[in-house]
Amino acid sequence: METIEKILAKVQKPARYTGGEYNQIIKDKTKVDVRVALCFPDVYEIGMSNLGLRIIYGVLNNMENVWCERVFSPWADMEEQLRENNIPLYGLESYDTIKDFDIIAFSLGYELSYTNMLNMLDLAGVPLKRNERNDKNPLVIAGGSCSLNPNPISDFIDLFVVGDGEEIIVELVNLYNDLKADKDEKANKTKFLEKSSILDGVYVPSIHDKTNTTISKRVVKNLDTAFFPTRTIVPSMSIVHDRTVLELFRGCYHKCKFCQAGFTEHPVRSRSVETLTKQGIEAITNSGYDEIGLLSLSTGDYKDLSKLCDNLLKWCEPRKVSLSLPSLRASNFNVELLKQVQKVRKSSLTFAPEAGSQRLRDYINKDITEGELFDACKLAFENGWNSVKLYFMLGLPTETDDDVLAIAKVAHSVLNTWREHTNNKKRGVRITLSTSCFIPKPHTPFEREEQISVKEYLRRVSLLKNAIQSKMITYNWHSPDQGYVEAALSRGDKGLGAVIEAAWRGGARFDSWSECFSLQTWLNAFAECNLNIDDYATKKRKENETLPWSFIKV
Amino acid sequence: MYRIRCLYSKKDKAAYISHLDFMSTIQRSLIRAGVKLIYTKGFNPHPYISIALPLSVGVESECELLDVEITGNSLPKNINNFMPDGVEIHRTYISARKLSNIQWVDVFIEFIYDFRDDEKAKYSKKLLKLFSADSLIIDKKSKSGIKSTDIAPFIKDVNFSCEENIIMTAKLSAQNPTIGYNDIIQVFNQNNDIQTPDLIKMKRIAIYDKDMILFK
Repeated sequence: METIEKILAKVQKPARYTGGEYNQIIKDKTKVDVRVALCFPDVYEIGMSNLGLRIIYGVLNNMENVWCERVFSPWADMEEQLRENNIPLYGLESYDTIKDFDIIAFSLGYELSYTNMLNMLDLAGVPLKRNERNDKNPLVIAGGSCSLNPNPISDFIDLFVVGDGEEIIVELVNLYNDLKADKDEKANKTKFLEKSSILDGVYVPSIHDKTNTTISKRVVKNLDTAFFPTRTIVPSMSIVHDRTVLELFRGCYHKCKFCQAGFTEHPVRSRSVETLTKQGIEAITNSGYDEIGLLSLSTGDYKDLSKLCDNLLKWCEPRKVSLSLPSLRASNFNVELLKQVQKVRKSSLTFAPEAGSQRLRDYINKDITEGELFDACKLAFENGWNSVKLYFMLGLPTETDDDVLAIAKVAHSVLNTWREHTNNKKRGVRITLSTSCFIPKPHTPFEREEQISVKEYLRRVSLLKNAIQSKMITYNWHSPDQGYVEAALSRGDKGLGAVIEAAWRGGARFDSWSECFSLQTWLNAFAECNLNIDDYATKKRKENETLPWSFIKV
Repeated sequence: MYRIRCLYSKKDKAAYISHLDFMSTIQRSLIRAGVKLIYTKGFNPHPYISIALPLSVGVESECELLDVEITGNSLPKNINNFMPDGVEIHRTYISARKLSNIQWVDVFIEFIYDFRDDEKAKYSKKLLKLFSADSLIIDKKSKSGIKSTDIAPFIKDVNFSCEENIIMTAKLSAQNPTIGYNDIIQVFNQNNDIQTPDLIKMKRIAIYDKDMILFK
């Protein structure tokens, strides 16, 4: 502990590395059979904002004989200290080194966190590649949306969970425990992988790759009876989403052609208003948060949203707890809803038309019209809002310069809507326009499409920038460099394992952070492996080409 | 409406919670315990909670004070069940004394060196001389910028002992000016002939008013 104290004095935000938060789970290590390190390859503030992580943590710790601890990526300053002082990566609950744990489980939701995953294994003192690990090393498993194309990281991971994780993880841990001859020894890995490979929603590269088996995803059928964490850790430092959350439903009724979640999380499964009301009140009571977020891919589509808001507000309003609805569509935005979200505190409003012209919106199947967007904005401005955020993508298939310019038109029309409908012109308005680069994702109708080049993206950015005439419209664009690498990794094959490792050895860490990302490091890594990044990112795939991820059935 | 004063400790892992984060942490803890807080009116209601003396990250304390406005006249008995590790409320009471009357903080500081024991004893004397000198000038950060300041008048009752580590006890000025953890580090940074410890651990033990009477 004293060594850890010494290094904590030298790093920024030491509370990232201490644990000890309210509701963390501490068990007696002599009394548990299986120890799991639940690893999130980003900093504490991001990882603790992830609902999936909280679900798995809760499910596993509900098992009496299992102790699941959290591990996040140490920031560069902490990595330096850990390495300098030879402290292997430890679990936040016990401070025990995770290389002695039975299972290391990664939650992977973003391709740009792959180098952090390798870095965490390395900091733990665990060999990176599965064929370099033996029965003395922990089993390394992974789940999350990155399992939808596991190829680029299948050299490193013993077993992938595809689809919903909360049921299968329990089956896997039980199976693992059954194969343990002794509490203090690890299970026979080969036997475990063999037995688990027949389970639904499990991909074991060492077994399935030999036989070309197709892997089906795991689906939790009934969300009402599924585990939901209502007694969950309350961080003692500010995190990205500092609120309690409810998950209204999984899946999405809309099939926007670029959206991976929309095409992979079907069927749509909802929780009932009764369950959600109960879970909401419990979660607020056990956390002390003053905000509750209603999560889903498209919250406005929840059929009993108004009733749910009423139920929650009845309880929340006297306690100064506000509601936030982060994923609203302009098409089902109404006065009633607006009044509900602003009852306690006014939250910001964000709409994502994704494309500027009706033609392109129709083409990508984003069923929202300009009229609907302006009506929603009108309503917001009439009710006192003076800021609106609008999200778009550049580089969508078939996009022309006219489509790009149409984005500016939409923003100006929103501004005009404000001029006509605000009741306080003196306060001014802030319209924030953001664009990101379209990334073709596996399992979507656009999975074979090309990504536009970095240069072309920047040309379209400047075209748009020059078309914006008002100071009240702020235009932010995401760096295309990160999207370029993300596109390559998203549609990668098994060859990319070497590239990811080379990038990590070249110093790539926290690639999802623009201030840490270096395109050059990645280009060097591709070159080192004699691969061309454009074959993965910008190349259009032929209709008859077998896609590397086609063995995963969603 | 009651303004309740809480005496609490913030130790171990909780020492790493920053002042700002601790404000929301304590707010959530009180709400979890079922305490009905009084809120400000307006667009973004927030509760009335004030912490007497902000604590630097990494510094422990056995004598923190905070005032909170609530509807009832006491906090629930099981309040500590709702706190994160290392935070414990020891006493709650109603006090008319203003927090601004606090003037001195009794501190316990450990200087951790990787020396031989006889070397530590020698160093302990060196440090005593340094910290009890008539003048101790450092560059001190304040709201108006960095200023060269003699902090000797704001450090009292300095004692040194040497056990496993070198230990200093002293009373430091709590407000106007505040002598804190960073100033102690600064003393080392600005004295080239003194080796900076591998780790300096600091703990607040008690707080006093200007007449050296325990502040409640």
